[in-house]
Amino acid sequence: MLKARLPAETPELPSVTPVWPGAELQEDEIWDLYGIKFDGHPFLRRILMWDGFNGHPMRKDWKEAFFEEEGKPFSSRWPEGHHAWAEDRVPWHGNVNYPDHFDPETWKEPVTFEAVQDEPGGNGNGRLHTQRIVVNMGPHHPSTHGVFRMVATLEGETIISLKPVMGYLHRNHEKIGERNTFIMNIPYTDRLDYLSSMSNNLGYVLAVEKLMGIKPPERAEYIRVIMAELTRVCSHLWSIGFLLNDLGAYFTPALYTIRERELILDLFEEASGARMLCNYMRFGGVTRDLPTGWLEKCNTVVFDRLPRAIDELERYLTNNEIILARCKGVGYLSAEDLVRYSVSGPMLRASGLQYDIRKVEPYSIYDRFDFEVPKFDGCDVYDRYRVRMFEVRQAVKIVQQALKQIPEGEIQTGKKAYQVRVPAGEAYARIEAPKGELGFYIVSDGKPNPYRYRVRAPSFINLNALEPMCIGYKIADSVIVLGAIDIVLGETDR
Amino acid sequence: MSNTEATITVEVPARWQDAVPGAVLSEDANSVVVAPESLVALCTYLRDHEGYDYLSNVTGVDYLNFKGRDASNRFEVVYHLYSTRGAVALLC
Amino acid sequence: MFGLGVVKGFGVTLKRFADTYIDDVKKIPSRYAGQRGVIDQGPEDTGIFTIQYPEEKRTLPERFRYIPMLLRDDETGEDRCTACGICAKVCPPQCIWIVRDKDENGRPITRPTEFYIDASICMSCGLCAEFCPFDAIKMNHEYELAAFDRYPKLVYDKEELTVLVSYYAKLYPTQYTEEEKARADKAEKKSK
Ligand code: SF4
Ligand code: SF4
Repeated sequence: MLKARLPAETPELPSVTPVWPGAELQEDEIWDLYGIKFDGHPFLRRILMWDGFNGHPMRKDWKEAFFEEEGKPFSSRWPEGHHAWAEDRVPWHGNVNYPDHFDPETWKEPVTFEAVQDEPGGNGNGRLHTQRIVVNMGPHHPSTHGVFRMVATLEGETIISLKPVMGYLHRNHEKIGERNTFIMNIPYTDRLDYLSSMSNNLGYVLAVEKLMGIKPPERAEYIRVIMAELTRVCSHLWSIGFLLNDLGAYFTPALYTIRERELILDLFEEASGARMLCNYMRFGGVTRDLPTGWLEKCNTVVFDRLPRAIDELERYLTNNEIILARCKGVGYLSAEDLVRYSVSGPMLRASGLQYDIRKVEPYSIYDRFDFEVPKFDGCDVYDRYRVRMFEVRQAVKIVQQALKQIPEGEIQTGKKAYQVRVPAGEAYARIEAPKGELGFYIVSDGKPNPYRYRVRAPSFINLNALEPMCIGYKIADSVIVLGAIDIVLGETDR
Repeated sequence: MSNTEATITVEVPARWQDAVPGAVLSEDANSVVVAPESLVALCTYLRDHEGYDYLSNVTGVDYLNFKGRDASNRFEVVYHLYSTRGAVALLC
Repeated sequence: MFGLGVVKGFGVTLKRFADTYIDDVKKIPSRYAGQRGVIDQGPEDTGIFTIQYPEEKRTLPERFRYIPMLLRDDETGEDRCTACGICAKVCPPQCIWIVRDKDENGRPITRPTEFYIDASICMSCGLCAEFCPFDAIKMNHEYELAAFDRYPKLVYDKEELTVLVSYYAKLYPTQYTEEEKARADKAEKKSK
C-alpha cells in the first residue's frame, strides 16, 4: 500500500495516469468526492456528481441531507417522542446551492463537444470529405444495461473517441457505509452488483474478518463457497444472455440462459429469504444454517440441471455463425494494455493471462478445490464469452466438490451480536467476484462504524478500457464491447 | 507467501530509496508513505523494476479530526499495487 | 456447414416449445385451464418457467422476507415486544420508530405505545427479526402492499403491524417449532 499525505488546503497530487492509465476513473472519483486535484490527469471531471453540486460529499465535514448530526440519526428522526417525516426537516430547496462561479444557465457539460465538426485535413488528401459526428448513446438506451451514457465521436461509422458518462445511479454508497455500523453494511453491499449479492457479502465480511482476526467455522466456509460460486453461475449466465441481447437476439436466448438461474435463485431464497438481495453472510459465519432438503435440491441442480443446460447453451451458441461474425476480433486489447488499464476478471483471462485471485491469492477455502483457470488469448468479445462459459463449468465443478465435502457443524464463530467490536486498523480484502476483482478497503478507528469504507468496484474500473477497446470499431460494436465488459450500474455508480 | 511478504517489509524500501531518493517518508507494517512529488517516479520504478504492474485500487481518505492527524496531513490517497505475474501484495 | 448454428438454435427453441406441452400433460390439474393457482417449480421441472402473475403465484419458502410484523400472543393478547429498541438500532435505513410506554409516575415500562415502520424505506433485510431478543418481530410474507400514496399508507403503525402468534406459526412452521423448543429448554433450565 502506497500512501501520500496531503494538507487540508490545496490538496494536490501528481496523477499516476502516465504510469497506469487505469487510474483515470478512480482519480476522477477522488477529485469528485474528496476534492483532491490531480496534476497531469488527462481529463479531470466530476464523474459521479454533476458540476452544479456544491461540495465534495465524501469529506467528513459534508453532511448527508437526512443525517445532519454526527453518528446516529435517531434524534433528528424522532423529535419529542413523536414520529416526524424526514422530508419536513430537510427543505429540499436548501440543498440546492451551487458552487461558486457556477451558473446553471450558462453551464456546459465537461464532456463538451460540437455535434458536427469538420475533420482536420479531411479534405484535399485524396480522401472523401467527411465530418465528425458526435452520437450520444444513453443515458437510457436499452442495450446499455442501465442508465449509462456513451458519448461517441464518429467518422462515418467508425468510433474515434468515446467517453463513458455515469453517475446517474449514484447513492453515495461509501458515505452511507461510514454512517452505518459494520453489520448494517451487509445488506447495503447486496445493492452494489445486485446480480451477485452473495459475492459482495463475501468480500465485505472477509475484509471485516481480516480486521477482527476471526475465521468462520468449516461448515460456514463451505456454505460461503457454494453460494459464491452459484452466484458466479448466475452472473455469467446473465452476462452471456445479455451479450446475445446486445447482438440483437432480443431476449429469447437471454431467457434460455437464465432459466437455470431461476432454480439457483430459488435455492438462495430458501436459504436466505431473498432471491437477489440475500444479506446472508455475517462476520464469522452465515446468518442461518441451510434448511432441511436444501442440499438435496442443490445436488439435483448442480449435478443434473446445470451441466445439461451449459451443454445446451454451448451447442447452440459457441459455433453460431452470427456470434462468430459479430464477436470475433471485436474489442481487441492486448494483455499488457488490459493490465495497464487495471482491468480484472474474465476480460483479463480472455487475453491469455491466467490471473485469478482464487488461485494466486486464495481466500476462504479456495485452495482446497480443484478447478482450472481458463486460458483463451483472443482478447476479443468472442473469447470473453468463451471464458465466461468455461468459468461457469468450473464454478459448477467447485460447487460439486464442495457439496461432497461439506461437513456438519457450527455456522457461526462466537456469539452473533448486533454490534461487533472491530479493532482500530485498516484492511484491504479482495475477491474474485464474477465481474472482476472486488475489493473492500476498510479503516476502523475502533468505533461501531467504519471510519472509511471503500468499494473497489470491478464494473467501474473495468470501464477504463472501454474507450481503447472501442476505438477503430463500428458504432454497433461498441454495444457488444460494453456487453462483454459486463457492467452492473449499481456497482459502477455506487 | 508469508516469506516473501516478510522480506519485502524489511528490505525493499532501502532499495527503493536508492532508486528514487527521498521518495519514502516513512513505513510501517503494511504501508509506505510517499512524498507527493516523487510519487510518479516511484510508481514508474515499482512498475518497471519490482514487478508491481497492476494498480488495483486508488482511493482517498479524509482524516479530519482523527487521532494523530492535523491540517497538514488531513487527506490521504491510498494506492494498492499488485503484480499479475507473482501475486505479491505490496506490503499488505 | 454455413447456417448450421442457426438451425441448431431453432432446434433448441423447438425443443423448449415441445417441453412446455409435455410438462403440462404430466401435471394435474392443467395449467392452461387456469386451474393451478399456485405454481411450484422444482429442479425436476422442465417446460416454461414464467408465471402468469397475478392469476398464478409462486409458493414462498418459509424464510421469505418482506416487511416486518409484530407478534401478539393469542391467549393473553399481550404484545411480545418490550420496546428494548434493538431492532430500531440495527435497522440499516433507520425506518423503525418506537415510543416506550410510561406508567403513571412517568417511568418507562417495557411496552411500546407506538411502533412505526416506514415500509417505503424498509429494505426488507430482516436484521430486525434476526436480532430481536424476544422473538417479537418477524418478517411477514404479505407482499402485495401497493398503495397510491406513500404517506400515510406505507407507514405502518403498531396495529397494522401486529399479527397473532398463530399466524406466525402457520407461516414459519419449522422456525416456530425450533423457537418454542428453545424457549421450553430455557424455562426448564431456569426452574431447575
Ligand atoms: S421488536 Fe424486539 S428488538 Fe424491537 S423493540 Fe421490540 S423487543 Fe426490542
Ligand atoms: S427489515 Fe431491515 S430495513 Fe426493514 S425494518 Fe427490519 S431492519 Fe429495518
